[in-house]
Amino acid sequence: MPPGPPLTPEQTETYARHLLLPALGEVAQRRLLAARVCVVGAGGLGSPALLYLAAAGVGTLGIIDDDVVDRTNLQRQVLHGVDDVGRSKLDSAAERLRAIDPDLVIEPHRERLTADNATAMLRGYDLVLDGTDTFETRYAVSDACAELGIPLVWASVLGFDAQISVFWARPDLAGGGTTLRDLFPDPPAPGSVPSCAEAGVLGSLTGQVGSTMATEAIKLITGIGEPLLGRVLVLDALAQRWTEVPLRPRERRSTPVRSAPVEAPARAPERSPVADAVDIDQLRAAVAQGEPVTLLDVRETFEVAHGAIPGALHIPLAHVLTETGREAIPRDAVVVAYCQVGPRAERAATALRAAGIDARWLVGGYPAWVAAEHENVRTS
Amino acid sequence: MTQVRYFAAAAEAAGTPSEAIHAGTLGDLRARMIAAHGPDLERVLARCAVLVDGRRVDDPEAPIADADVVDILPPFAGG
Repeated sequence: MPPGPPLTPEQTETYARHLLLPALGEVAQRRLLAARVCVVGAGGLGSPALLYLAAAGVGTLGIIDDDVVDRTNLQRQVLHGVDDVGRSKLDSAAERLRAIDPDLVIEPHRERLTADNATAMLRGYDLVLDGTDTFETRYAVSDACAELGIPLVWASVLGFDAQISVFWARPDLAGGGTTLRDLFPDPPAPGSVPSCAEAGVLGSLTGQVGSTMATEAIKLITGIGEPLLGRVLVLDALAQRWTEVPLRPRERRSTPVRSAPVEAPARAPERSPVADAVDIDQLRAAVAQGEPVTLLDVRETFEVAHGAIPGALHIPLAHVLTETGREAIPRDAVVVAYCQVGPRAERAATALRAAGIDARWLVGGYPAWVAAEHENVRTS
Repeated sequence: MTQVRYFAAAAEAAGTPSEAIHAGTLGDLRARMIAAHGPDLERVLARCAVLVDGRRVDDPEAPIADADVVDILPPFAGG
């Protein structure tokens, strides 16, 4: 995070206790003031997280919540009070947060976050905090953050128990970093896990956990300390015991032995899902051998402007999903779709195969190609 | 002996936060856990993440070594 402008005398006074910390200091405080953070859910976890982020001087806070304050929220959702019952949580949160910092820029999103709009809603934020209360929304947030390469401070609570981690899908992290799907690949069957509305939750536990989320957010923005990457903190509030559980990426889908699809193209639909991924070495080998491969860049125009694989056909994912958008794709070569990380390309390849076009997707996306090019230059 | 750590609903169903079990594969380990703690744990295990030294494992044939630490985490979504 680049720092914002120098502090005003008033800011120097407000953030005096941060400025005294040798590890934090003025430049880190200016990073906080320049940061754009999105908090999904202004509830039990979102309340303490938002309060501490606003107090810490985070400059812009996006808040996503389509709910109104209910009396049963007040036991833990400390942004809201009795007078707010029936009021939009966004309005209640904005009023409370502005009382802490009148200069805070609040970006309210009243729309419910879904798998369809999550990428559009979260794009442009430096960091996302997930304090939502359904599995559906949590997977939508995690997938969108992975797609956009945005770090995600994630936590969930039930009863007296909590889990907290930082997910960040980045090709340069070990194994590409971790996401929610490395811990729980798919949401549990509906109804198999009780919600807080059914099983209850200790209000002060959400305070502990939401504050921890704010601490992780501040560390990530300022670059201090050791982020909670590759680790899940598990809290048992009754025993008051925090346990650290290591988390490593699941085995990735592409292994050279199991999926050599470009070398041996086959009509796809009956193949296992494992076989639809290719890694950068397989792609380069196929191209070097002169095999007919159509490279398809499914990223957005603004991303392609920063660079693309030479000769690639550019059709953004949304268009690949439509019949007219697919018209420009030649059918006499294997299509290898790529994006910035992988999920969009995988979705494109699946859609293309469903439309009868032989298609794969590139693991690691455009950054994997760039890295391989650099490697090539160094070794030749 | 493999060290197994149970969390939240899994710890409640097992009646203990941790125990040592000797098992050769994930399927073997699962059978021993269920034999020791009964159907309550079996129900919770069905939805839990089983992490072997931090990596999620689902294949019953996956080998388990005595030096491994196995973490059993149930999913929940409260916020």
